[in-house]
Amino acid sequence: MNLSIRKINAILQLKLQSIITNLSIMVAPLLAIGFVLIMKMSMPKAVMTGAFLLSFGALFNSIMGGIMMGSYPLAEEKEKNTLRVLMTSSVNGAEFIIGSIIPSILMIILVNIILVPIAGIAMNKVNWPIYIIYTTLSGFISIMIGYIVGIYSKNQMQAGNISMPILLIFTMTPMFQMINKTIANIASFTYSGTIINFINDMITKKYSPSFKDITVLTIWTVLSVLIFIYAYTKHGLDSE
Amino acid sequence: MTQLDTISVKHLSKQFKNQTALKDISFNIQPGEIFGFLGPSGAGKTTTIKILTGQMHPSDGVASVLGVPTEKINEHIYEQVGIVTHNSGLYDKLSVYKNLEIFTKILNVKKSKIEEILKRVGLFKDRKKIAGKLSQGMRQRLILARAVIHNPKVLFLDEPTSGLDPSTQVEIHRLIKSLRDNGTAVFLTTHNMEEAEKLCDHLALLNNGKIVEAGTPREIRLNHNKKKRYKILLKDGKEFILSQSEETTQKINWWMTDNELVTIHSCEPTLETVFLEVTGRKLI
Repeated sequence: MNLSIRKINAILQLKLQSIITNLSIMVAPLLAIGFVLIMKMSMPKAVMTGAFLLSFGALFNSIMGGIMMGSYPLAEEKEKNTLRVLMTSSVNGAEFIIGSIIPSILMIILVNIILVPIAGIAMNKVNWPIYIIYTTLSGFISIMIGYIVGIYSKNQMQAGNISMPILLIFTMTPMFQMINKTIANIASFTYSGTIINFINDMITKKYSPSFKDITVLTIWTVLSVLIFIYAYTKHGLDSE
Repeated sequence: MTQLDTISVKHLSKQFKNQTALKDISFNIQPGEIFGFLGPSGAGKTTTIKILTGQMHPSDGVASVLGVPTEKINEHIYEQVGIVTHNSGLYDKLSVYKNLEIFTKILNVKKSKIEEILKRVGLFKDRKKIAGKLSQGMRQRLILARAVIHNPKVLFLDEPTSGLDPSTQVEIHRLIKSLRDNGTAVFLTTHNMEEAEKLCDHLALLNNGKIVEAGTPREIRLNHNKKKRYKILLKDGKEFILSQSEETTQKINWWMTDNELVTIHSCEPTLETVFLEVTGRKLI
Protein backbone atom coordinates (compact mmCIF):
# COMPACT_ATOMS: atom_id res chain seq x y z
CA MET A 1 0.00 0.00 0.00
CA ASN A 2 1.48 3.33 -1.09
CA LEU A 3 1.29 6.41 1.09
CA SER A 4 0.95 9.91 -0.34
CA ILE A 5 2.08 12.77 1.91
CA ARG A 6 -0.16 15.13 -0.10
CA LYS A 7 -3.26 13.03 0.58
CA ILE A 8 -2.37 12.49 4.26
CA ASN A 9 -1.96 16.25 4.60
CA ALA A 10 -5.35 16.86 2.95
CA ILE A 11 -7.06 14.42 5.34
CA LEU A 12 -5.17 15.94 8.29
CA GLN A 13 -6.47 19.42 7.46
CA LEU A 14 -9.98 18.07 6.94
CA LYS A 15 -9.93 16.22 10.26
CA LEU A 16 -8.53 19.19 12.15
CA GLN A 17 -11.47 21.27 10.95
CA SER A 18 -13.91 18.44 11.76
CA ILE A 19 -12.56 18.03 15.30
CA ILE A 20 -12.67 21.75 16.03
CA THR A 21 -16.21 22.15 14.66
CA ASN A 22 -17.61 18.97 16.21
CA LEU A 23 -18.67 19.71 19.80
CA SER A 24 -19.32 16.05 20.55
CA ILE A 25 -15.61 15.36 19.96
CA MET A 26 -14.32 18.48 21.70
CA VAL A 27 -16.48 17.77 24.74
CA ALA A 28 -13.92 15.39 26.31
CA PRO A 29 -10.88 17.70 26.27
CA LEU A 30 -13.05 20.65 27.30
CA LEU A 31 -14.67 18.65 30.12
CA ALA A 32 -11.25 17.42 31.26
CA ILE A 33 -10.09 21.02 31.70
CA GLY A 34 -13.45 22.15 33.10
CA PHE A 35 -13.80 19.34 35.67
CA VAL A 36 -10.25 19.76 36.93
CA LEU A 37 -10.84 23.50 37.34
CA ILE A 38 -14.20 23.04 39.09
CA MET A 39 -12.94 20.28 41.40
CA LYS A 40 -9.85 22.29 42.27
CA MET A 41 -11.88 25.37 43.14
CA SER A 42 -14.82 23.72 44.88
CA MET A 43 -13.30 20.84 46.86
CA PRO A 44 -10.88 20.94 49.81
CA LYS A 45 -7.21 20.62 48.89
CA ALA A 46 -6.80 17.65 51.22
CA VAL A 47 -9.23 15.63 49.10
CA MET A 48 -8.41 17.02 45.67
CA THR A 49 -4.68 16.56 45.57
CA GLY A 50 -2.75 17.69 42.50
CA ALA A 51 -2.00 14.06 41.67
CA PHE A 52 -5.67 13.12 41.78
CA LEU A 53 -6.71 16.13 39.69
CA LEU A 54 -4.05 15.54 37.05
CA SER A 55 -4.68 11.79 36.79
CA PHE A 56 -8.42 12.42 36.55
CA GLY A 57 -7.96 15.12 33.87
CA ALA A 58 -5.37 13.17 31.89
CA LEU A 59 -7.55 10.06 31.91
CA PHE A 60 -10.62 11.99 30.91
CA ASN A 61 -8.74 13.65 28.07
CA SER A 62 -6.67 10.71 26.85
CA ILE A 63 -9.25 7.96 27.24
CA MET A 64 -12.64 9.59 26.78
CA GLY A 65 -11.20 12.06 24.25
CA GLY A 66 -9.21 9.39 22.42
CA ILE A 67 -12.10 6.95 22.09
CA MET A 68 -14.46 9.72 20.98
CA MET A 69 -11.95 11.20 18.54
CA GLY A 70 -11.51 7.76 17.02
CA SER A 71 -15.07 6.49 16.91
CA TYR A 72 -17.27 9.54 16.31
CA PRO A 73 -15.59 11.03 13.21
CA LEU A 74 -15.33 7.60 11.56
CA ALA A 75 -18.99 6.85 12.33
CA GLU A 76 -19.96 10.35 11.15
CA GLU A 77 -18.12 9.84 7.85
CA LYS A 78 -20.02 6.58 7.36
CA GLU A 79 -23.34 8.09 8.41
CA LYS A 80 -22.99 11.04 6.03
CA ASN A 81 -21.61 8.87 3.19
CA THR A 82 -18.41 10.90 2.95
CA LEU A 83 -16.00 8.10 3.80
CA ARG A 84 -16.93 6.23 0.62
CA VAL A 85 -16.47 9.46 -1.34
CA LEU A 86 -12.93 9.80 0.07
CA MET A 87 -12.14 6.15 -0.62
CA THR A 88 -13.32 6.50 -4.20
CA SER A 89 -11.30 9.71 -4.60
CA SER A 90 -7.98 7.87 -4.42
CA VAL A 91 -7.44 8.01 -0.64
CA ASN A 92 -6.52 4.62 0.83
CA GLY A 93 -7.30 3.34 4.31
CA ALA A 94 -3.80 3.92 5.68
CA GLU A 95 -3.71 7.52 4.42
CA PHE A 96 -7.11 8.13 5.99
CA ILE A 97 -6.08 6.66 9.36
CA ILE A 98 -2.73 8.47 9.50
CA GLY A 99 -4.28 11.79 8.44
CA SER A 100 -7.04 11.35 11.01
CA ILE A 101 -4.90 10.24 13.93
CA ILE A 102 -2.36 13.09 13.86
CA PRO A 103 -4.70 15.98 14.80
CA SER A 104 -6.35 13.83 17.49
CA ILE A 105 -3.00 12.93 19.05
CA LEU A 106 -1.83 16.55 18.91
CA MET A 107 -5.03 17.68 20.61
CA ILE A 108 -4.59 15.08 23.36
CA ILE A 109 -0.95 16.08 23.95
CA LEU A 110 -1.81 19.79 24.07
CA VAL A 111 -4.61 19.34 26.60
CA ASN A 112 -2.51 16.98 28.74
CA ILE A 113 0.18 19.69 28.95
CA ILE A 114 -2.38 22.40 29.80
CA LEU A 115 -3.81 20.18 32.56
CA VAL A 116 -0.56 20.27 34.58
CA PRO A 117 -0.76 23.97 35.64
CA ILE A 118 -4.55 23.78 35.86
CA ALA A 119 -4.23 20.90 38.36
CA GLY A 120 -1.92 23.18 40.39
CA ILE A 121 1.21 21.12 39.86
CA ALA A 122 4.55 22.83 39.59
CA MET A 123 6.09 22.38 36.16
CA ASN A 124 9.39 21.11 37.64
CA LYS A 125 7.53 18.36 39.50
CA VAL A 126 6.60 16.70 36.24
CA ASN A 127 8.76 14.09 34.55
CA TRP A 128 7.87 15.55 31.16
CA PRO A 129 9.32 12.96 28.77
CA ILE A 130 7.60 10.07 30.55
CA TYR A 131 4.41 12.06 31.16
CA ILE A 132 4.15 12.91 27.45
CA ILE A 133 5.06 9.39 26.31
CA TYR A 134 2.68 7.60 28.71
CA THR A 135 -0.31 9.89 28.22
CA THR A 136 0.20 10.02 24.45
CA LEU A 137 0.43 6.22 24.31
CA SER A 138 -2.78 5.94 26.32
CA GLY A 139 -4.37 8.45 23.92
CA PHE A 140 -3.16 6.37 20.97
CA ILE A 141 -4.56 3.14 22.48
CA SER A 142 -7.88 4.92 23.07
CA ILE A 143 -7.99 6.22 19.50
CA MET A 144 -7.35 2.68 18.24
CA ILE A 145 -10.22 1.42 20.43
CA GLY A 146 -12.29 4.28 19.00
CA TYR A 147 -11.47 3.23 15.42
CA ILE A 148 -12.44 -0.37 16.21
CA VAL A 149 -15.77 0.92 17.57
CA GLY A 150 -16.10 3.14 14.48
CA ILE A 151 -15.54 0.19 12.13
CA TYR A 152 -18.40 -1.73 13.76
CA SER A 153 -20.75 1.30 13.97
CA LYS A 154 -23.05 2.51 11.23
CA ASN A 155 -23.66 5.95 12.72
CA GLN A 156 -22.67 8.26 15.54
CA MET A 157 -25.44 7.10 17.84
CA GLN A 158 -24.32 3.50 17.56
CA ALA A 159 -20.71 4.59 18.09
CA GLY A 160 -21.80 6.42 21.25
CA ASN A 161 -23.72 3.40 22.53
CA ILE A 162 -20.82 1.01 21.97
CA SER A 163 -18.07 3.28 23.25
CA MET A 164 -19.85 4.57 26.36
CA PRO A 165 -19.34 1.48 28.57
CA ILE A 166 -15.74 1.09 27.37
CA LEU A 167 -14.76 4.67 28.10
CA LEU A 168 -16.61 4.64 31.44
CA ILE A 169 -14.66 1.58 32.61
CA PHE A 170 -11.29 3.08 31.73
CA THR A 171 -12.05 6.65 32.80
CA MET A 172 -13.46 5.56 36.15
CA THR A 173 -10.44 3.39 36.99
CA PRO A 174 -9.32 5.76 39.79
CA MET A 175 -12.73 5.40 41.47
CA PHE A 176 -12.65 1.61 41.16
CA GLN A 177 -9.13 1.49 42.56
CA MET A 178 -10.41 3.08 45.76
CA ILE A 179 -12.93 0.27 46.32
CA ASN A 180 -10.50 -2.46 47.32
CA LYS A 181 -7.00 -3.80 46.77
CA THR A 182 -8.02 -6.60 44.39
CA ILE A 183 -9.67 -4.16 42.01
CA ALA A 184 -6.68 -1.82 42.36
CA ASN A 185 -4.40 -4.72 41.49
CA ILE A 186 -6.48 -5.65 38.44
CA ALA A 187 -6.65 -1.98 37.40
CA SER A 188 -2.87 -1.74 37.47
CA PHE A 189 -2.84 -4.07 34.48
CA THR A 190 -4.95 -1.66 32.44
CA TYR A 191 -3.37 1.21 30.54
CA SER A 192 -5.47 3.71 32.49
CA GLY A 193 -4.34 2.17 35.79
CA THR A 194 -0.73 2.53 34.70
CA ILE A 195 -1.25 6.24 34.01
CA ILE A 196 -2.82 6.79 37.45
CA ASN A 197 -0.05 4.98 39.27
CA PHE A 198 2.59 6.83 37.27
CA ILE A 199 1.09 10.28 37.97
CA ASN A 200 0.66 9.46 41.65
CA ASP A 201 4.23 8.26 42.00
CA MET A 202 5.59 11.16 39.93
CA ILE A 203 3.93 13.77 42.15
CA THR A 204 4.30 12.13 45.55
CA LYS A 205 7.73 10.54 45.13
CA LYS A 206 10.26 10.05 42.37
CA TYR A 207 9.02 7.84 39.54
CA SER A 208 11.27 5.58 37.55
CA PRO A 209 9.75 3.50 34.76
CA SER A 210 9.06 -0.03 35.94
CA PHE A 211 9.18 -3.18 33.84
CA LYS A 212 5.51 -3.80 34.65
CA ASP A 213 4.34 -0.33 33.50
CA ILE A 214 6.29 -0.52 30.24
CA THR A 215 5.06 -4.07 29.58
CA VAL A 216 1.43 -3.19 30.32
CA LEU A 217 1.50 -0.16 28.03
CA THR A 218 3.31 -2.07 25.28
CA ILE A 219 0.86 -4.99 25.42
CA TRP A 220 -2.13 -2.64 25.29
CA THR A 221 -0.63 -0.74 22.38
CA VAL A 222 0.19 -3.88 20.40
CA LEU A 223 -3.17 -5.49 21.21
CA SER A 224 -5.18 -2.42 20.20
CA VAL A 225 -3.26 -2.12 16.91
CA LEU A 226 -3.66 -5.85 16.17
CA ILE A 227 -7.40 -5.82 16.89
CA PHE A 228 -7.75 -2.70 14.76
CA ILE A 229 -5.84 -4.34 11.88
CA TYR A 230 -8.02 -7.46 12.21
CA ALA A 231 -11.24 -5.39 12.16
CA TYR A 232 -9.97 -3.28 9.26
CA THR A 233 -8.85 -6.28 7.24
CA LYS A 234 -12.13 -8.10 7.86
CA HIS A 235 -14.57 -5.24 7.41
CA GLY A 236 -12.65 -2.34 5.89
CA LEU A 237 -13.35 1.15 7.16
CA ASP A 238 -16.61 1.36 5.29
CA SER A 239 -18.23 -2.05 5.17
CA GLU A 240 -21.86 -2.33 4.07
CA MET B 1 -11.88 -4.87 -25.47
CA THR B 2 -10.78 -2.69 -28.37
CA GLN B 3 -7.98 -0.17 -28.05
CA LEU B 4 -10.57 2.58 -27.69
CA ASP B 5 -12.83 1.10 -25.04
CA THR B 6 -12.79 2.94 -21.72
CA ILE B 7 -15.09 0.41 -20.12
CA SER B 8 -15.36 -3.18 -21.23
CA VAL B 9 -17.85 -5.64 -19.73
CA LYS B 10 -18.06 -9.28 -20.79
CA HIS B 11 -20.59 -11.80 -19.52
CA LEU B 12 -20.81 -10.15 -16.12
CA SER B 13 -23.01 -11.78 -13.48
CA LYS B 14 -23.63 -11.07 -9.82
CA GLN B 15 -25.38 -13.36 -7.40
CA PHE B 16 -26.42 -12.37 -3.85
CA LYS B 17 -27.26 -15.57 -1.95
CA ASN B 18 -30.54 -16.60 -3.59
CA GLN B 19 -30.97 -13.47 -5.68
CA THR B 20 -29.44 -12.85 -9.09
CA ALA B 21 -28.65 -9.16 -9.52
CA LEU B 22 -26.92 -9.34 -12.92
CA LYS B 23 -27.15 -12.01 -15.58
CA ASP B 24 -24.50 -12.28 -18.28
CA ILE B 25 -24.33 -8.61 -19.28
CA SER B 26 -21.86 -7.33 -21.88
CA PHE B 27 -21.18 -3.87 -23.29
CA ASN B 28 -18.36 -1.48 -24.17
CA ILE B 29 -18.05 2.26 -23.66
CA GLN B 30 -15.67 4.46 -25.60
CA PRO B 31 -14.14 7.86 -24.75
CA GLY B 32 -16.51 10.75 -25.43
CA GLU B 33 -19.57 8.54 -25.18
CA ILE B 34 -22.55 8.72 -22.83
CA PHE B 35 -23.75 5.20 -22.17
CA GLY B 36 -27.12 4.93 -20.46
CA PHE B 37 -28.24 2.06 -18.29
CA LEU B 38 -32.00 2.35 -18.27
CA GLY B 39 -34.09 0.26 -15.95
CA PRO B 40 -36.51 0.32 -13.05
CA SER B 41 -35.42 0.32 -9.39
CA GLY B 42 -33.82 -2.97 -8.46
CA ALA B 43 -32.87 -3.82 -12.05
CA GLY B 44 -29.15 -4.03 -11.20
CA LYS B 45 -27.96 -0.54 -12.21
CA THR B 46 -26.23 0.37 -8.94
CA THR B 47 -24.75 -3.12 -8.63
CA THR B 48 -23.14 -2.63 -12.06
CA ILE B 49 -21.62 0.71 -10.95
CA LYS B 50 -20.31 -0.86 -7.75
CA ILE B 51 -18.63 -3.65 -9.72
CA LEU B 52 -17.17 -1.25 -12.29
CA THR B 53 -15.77 1.03 -9.57
CA GLY B 54 -14.18 -1.86 -7.68
CA GLN B 55 -16.51 -1.63 -4.68
CA MET B 56 -17.95 -5.08 -5.32
CA HIS B 57 -16.70 -8.22 -7.02
CA PRO B 58 -18.65 -9.96 -9.77
CA SER B 59 -19.70 -13.59 -9.36
CA ASP B 60 -18.79 -14.31 -12.96
CA GLY B 61 -17.50 -12.59 -16.09
CA VAL B 62 -14.88 -9.90 -16.59
CA ALA B 63 -14.97 -6.12 -16.61
CA SER B 64 -12.27 -3.52 -16.96
CA VAL B 65 -12.11 0.25 -16.58
CA LEU B 66 -9.33 2.16 -18.36
CA GLY B 67 -7.72 -1.20 -19.08
CA VAL B 68 -7.65 -2.26 -15.42
CA PRO B 69 -9.64 -5.38 -14.50
CA THR B 70 -12.19 -4.37 -11.88
CA GLU B 71 -10.96 -6.89 -9.31
CA LYS B 72 -7.52 -5.24 -9.48
CA ILE B 73 -8.84 -1.69 -9.06
CA ASN B 74 -7.08 0.22 -6.30
CA GLU B 75 -7.08 3.85 -5.21
CA HIS B 76 -4.90 4.96 -8.15
CA ILE B 77 -7.63 4.48 -10.73
CA TYR B 78 -9.89 6.89 -8.83
CA GLU B 79 -7.54 9.71 -9.86
CA GLN B 80 -9.03 9.26 -13.35
CA VAL B 81 -12.57 8.43 -12.34
CA GLY B 82 -15.47 10.51 -11.05
CA ILE B 83 -18.39 8.95 -9.20
CA VAL B 84 -21.79 10.43 -8.34
CA THR B 85 -24.24 8.15 -6.56
CA HIS B 86 -27.61 9.04 -5.11
CA ASN B 87 -26.12 8.85 -1.61
CA SER B 88 -22.80 10.63 -2.21
CA GLY B 89 -22.23 12.75 0.88
CA LEU B 90 -20.89 16.23 1.53
CA TYR B 91 -19.09 17.74 4.51
CA ASP B 92 -22.12 19.59 5.81
CA LYS B 93 -20.22 21.80 8.25
CA LEU B 94 -17.80 23.05 5.60
CA SER B 95 -18.47 25.68 2.96
CA VAL B 96 -19.13 24.87 -0.69
CA TYR B 97 -15.61 26.09 -1.53
CA LYS B 98 -13.94 24.07 1.25
CA ASN B 99 -15.81 20.93 0.16
CA LEU B 100 -14.09 21.19 -3.20
CA GLU B 101 -10.76 22.40 -1.82
CA ILE B 102 -10.24 19.11 0.06
CA PHE B 103 -10.54 17.19 -3.18
CA THR B 104 -8.24 19.51 -5.12
CA LYS B 105 -5.60 18.67 -2.52
CA ILE B 106 -6.30 14.94 -2.65
CA LEU B 107 -6.41 14.83 -6.45
CA ASN B 108 -3.58 17.32 -6.98
CA VAL B 109 -5.73 19.80 -8.91
CA LYS B 110 -4.96 23.52 -9.10
CA LYS B 111 -7.06 25.67 -6.75
CA SER B 112 -8.09 27.90 -9.67
CA LYS B 113 -10.18 24.95 -10.90
CA ILE B 114 -12.54 25.40 -7.93
CA GLU B 115 -13.85 28.77 -9.10
CA GLU B 116 -14.03 27.55 -12.68
CA ILE B 117 -16.13 24.50 -11.82
CA LEU B 118 -18.32 26.44 -9.37
CA LYS B 119 -19.14 28.88 -12.18
CA ARG B 120 -19.97 25.98 -14.50
CA VAL B 121 -22.44 24.45 -12.04
CA GLY B 122 -23.87 27.84 -11.03
CA LEU B 123 -22.67 27.76 -7.44
CA PHE B 124 -19.99 30.46 -7.57
CA LYS B 125 -22.03 33.04 -5.69
CA ASP B 126 -22.86 30.41 -3.05
CA ARG B 127 -19.21 29.37 -2.55
CA LYS B 128 -19.14 30.63 1.06
CA LYS B 129 -22.41 28.94 2.00
CA ILE B 130 -22.26 26.02 4.42
CA ALA B 131 -22.95 22.82 2.47
CA GLY B 132 -25.49 21.67 5.06
CA LYS B 133 -27.68 24.65 4.17
CA LEU B 134 -27.84 23.97 0.43
CA SER B 135 -31.03 22.90 -1.32
CA GLN B 136 -31.22 19.38 -2.79
CA GLY B 137 -30.54 20.70 -6.30
CA MET B 138 -27.54 22.74 -5.15
CA ARG B 139 -26.15 19.76 -3.22
CA GLN B 140 -26.40 17.59 -6.30
CA ARG B 141 -24.62 20.22 -8.40
CA LEU B 142 -21.85 20.44 -5.79
CA ILE B 143 -21.50 16.64 -5.73
CA LEU B 144 -21.24 16.66 -9.52
CA ALA B 145 -18.70 19.50 -9.41
CA ARG B 146 -16.60 17.49 -6.97
CA ALA B 147 -16.79 14.39 -9.19
CA VAL B 148 -15.52 16.25 -12.26
CA ILE B 149 -13.06 18.74 -10.75
CA HIS B 150 -10.11 16.57 -11.86
CA ASN B 151 -11.38 16.11 -15.45
CA PRO B 152 -11.91 12.37 -15.09
CA LYS B 153 -11.57 10.04 -18.05
CA VAL B 154 -14.60 8.10 -16.80
CA LEU B 155 -17.62 9.45 -14.99
CA PHE B 156 -20.11 7.18 -13.24
CA LEU B 157 -23.46 8.82 -12.62
CA ASP B 158 -26.04 6.87 -10.63
CA GLU B 159 -29.41 8.60 -11.08
CA PRO B 160 -27.79 12.04 -10.98
CA THR B 161 -30.98 14.03 -11.50
CA SER B 162 -33.35 11.92 -9.44
CA GLY B 163 -35.70 14.16 -7.47
CA LEU B 164 -34.35 17.40 -8.92
CA ASP B 165 -36.35 20.26 -10.39
CA PRO B 166 -36.41 20.60 -14.21
CA SER B 167 -34.10 23.64 -14.37
CA THR B 168 -31.42 21.90 -12.27
CA GLN B 169 -31.81 18.83 -14.48
CA VAL B 170 -31.17 20.97 -17.57
CA GLU B 171 -28.03 22.47 -15.99
CA ILE B 172 -26.72 19.04 -15.05
CA HIS B 173 -27.47 17.68 -18.53
CA ARG B 174 -25.54 20.57 -20.06
CA LEU B 175 -22.52 19.84 -17.88
CA ILE B 176 -22.61 16.11 -18.66
CA LYS B 177 -22.74 16.85 -22.39
CA SER B 178 -19.80 19.24 -22.20
CA LEU B 179 -17.76 16.58 -20.36
CA ARG B 180 -18.66 14.08 -23.07
CA ASP B 181 -17.56 16.58 -25.71
CA ASN B 182 -14.21 16.86 -23.94
CA GLY B 183 -13.66 13.11 -24.21
CA THR B 184 -14.99 11.81 -20.88
CA ALA B 185 -16.75 8.45 -21.08
CA VAL B 186 -19.94 8.71 -19.07
CA PHE B 187 -21.76 5.74 -17.58
CA LEU B 188 -25.21 6.96 -16.60
CA THR B 189 -27.91 5.00 -14.83
CA THR B 190 -31.43 6.34 -14.85
CA HIS B 191 -35.04 5.27 -14.88
CA ASN B 192 -35.96 8.52 -16.61
CA MET B 193 -36.47 7.67 -20.28
CA GLU B 194 -36.58 11.32 -21.35
CA GLU B 195 -33.18 11.88 -19.76
CA ALA B 196 -31.82 8.76 -21.44
CA GLU B 197 -33.18 9.84 -24.81
CA LYS B 198 -31.77 13.38 -24.52
CA LEU B 199 -28.34 12.49 -23.21
CA CYS B 200 -27.25 9.03 -24.23
CA ASP B 201 -25.32 8.05 -27.32
CA HIS B 202 -25.92 4.40 -26.53
CA LEU B 203 -28.37 2.71 -24.25
CA ALA B 204 -28.93 -0.64 -22.63
CA LEU B 205 -32.33 -1.49 -21.23
CA LEU B 206 -31.92 -3.52 -18.06
CA ASN B 207 -34.58 -5.69 -16.53
CA ASN B 208 -34.10 -8.12 -13.63
CA GLY B 209 -30.34 -7.96 -14.14
CA LYS B 210 -30.47 -8.74 -17.85
CA ILE B 211 -29.89 -6.46 -20.84
CA VAL B 212 -33.07 -6.84 -22.86
CA GLU B 213 -32.30 -4.29 -25.57
CA ALA B 214 -29.30 -2.19 -26.59
CA GLY B 215 -28.31 0.36 -29.22
CA THR B 216 -28.68 4.08 -29.83
CA PRO B 217 -31.96 5.52 -28.53
CA ARG B 218 -33.14 5.94 -32.14
CA GLU B 219 -32.17 2.39 -33.12
CA ILE B 220 -34.03 0.97 -30.16
CA ARG B 221 -37.17 2.96 -30.93
CA LEU B 222 -37.07 2.23 -34.67
CA ASN B 223 -36.39 -1.48 -34.16
CA HIS B 224 -39.69 -1.67 -32.32
CA ASN B 225 -41.58 0.50 -34.77
CA LYS B 226 -43.23 -2.54 -36.34
CA LYS B 227 -46.62 -0.98 -37.10
CA LYS B 228 -45.71 2.29 -38.78
CA ARG B 229 -48.39 4.88 -38.00
CA TYR B 230 -48.75 8.64 -38.48
CA LYS B 231 -50.62 11.18 -36.37
CA ILE B 232 -52.27 13.80 -38.54
CA LEU B 233 -53.98 17.10 -37.72
CA LEU B 234 -56.10 18.80 -40.36
CA LYS B 235 -57.15 22.43 -40.75
CA ASP B 236 -60.70 21.70 -39.58
CA GLY B 237 -59.30 20.33 -36.28
CA LYS B 238 -59.82 16.67 -37.10
CA GLU B 239 -57.11 14.30 -35.87
CA PHE B 240 -56.29 10.89 -37.32
CA ILE B 241 -53.84 8.12 -36.55
CA LEU B 242 -53.27 6.23 -39.78
CA SER B 243 -51.30 3.06 -40.44
CA GLN B 244 -48.84 2.97 -43.30
CA SER B 245 -50.63 1.84 -46.46
CA GLU B 246 -51.15 2.89 -50.02
CA GLU B 247 -54.46 4.43 -49.01
CA THR B 248 -52.80 6.54 -46.29
CA THR B 249 -50.19 7.71 -48.80
CA GLN B 250 -52.93 8.84 -51.16
CA LYS B 251 -54.86 10.60 -48.39
CA ILE B 252 -51.77 12.47 -47.16
CA ASN B 253 -50.94 13.43 -50.73
CA TRP B 254 -54.51 14.74 -51.24
CA TRP B 255 -54.52 16.72 -47.94
CA MET B 256 -51.16 18.22 -48.77
CA THR B 257 -52.25 19.23 -52.26
CA ASP B 258 -55.36 20.88 -50.83
CA ASN B 259 -53.32 22.53 -48.07
CA GLU B 260 -55.51 20.78 -45.47
CA LEU B 261 -52.61 19.20 -43.54
CA VAL B 262 -51.53 21.17 -40.44
CA THR B 263 -49.23 18.63 -38.69
CA ILE B 264 -47.94 15.12 -39.33
CA HIS B 265 -45.94 13.01 -36.89
CA SER B 266 -44.62 9.49 -37.06
CA CYS B 267 -45.74 7.34 -34.12
CA GLU B 268 -42.63 5.31 -33.35
CA PRO B 269 -42.65 3.96 -29.79
CA THR B 270 -40.98 5.79 -26.89
CA LEU B 271 -38.28 4.05 -24.90
CA GLU B 272 -40.84 3.54 -22.17
CA THR B 273 -43.19 1.78 -24.60
CA VAL B 274 -40.33 -0.36 -25.85
CA PHE B 275 -39.42 -1.28 -22.29
CA LEU B 276 -43.02 -2.17 -21.53
CA GLU B 277 -43.22 -4.23 -24.72
CA VAL B 278 -40.00 -6.11 -24.04
CA THR B 279 -40.41 -6.72 -20.31
CA GLY B 280 -44.08 -6.33 -19.61
CA ARG B 281 -43.30 -3.86 -16.81
CA LYS B 282 -43.03 -0.09 -16.43
CA LEU B 283 -39.79 1.80 -15.90
CA ILE B 284 -40.54 3.21 -12.45
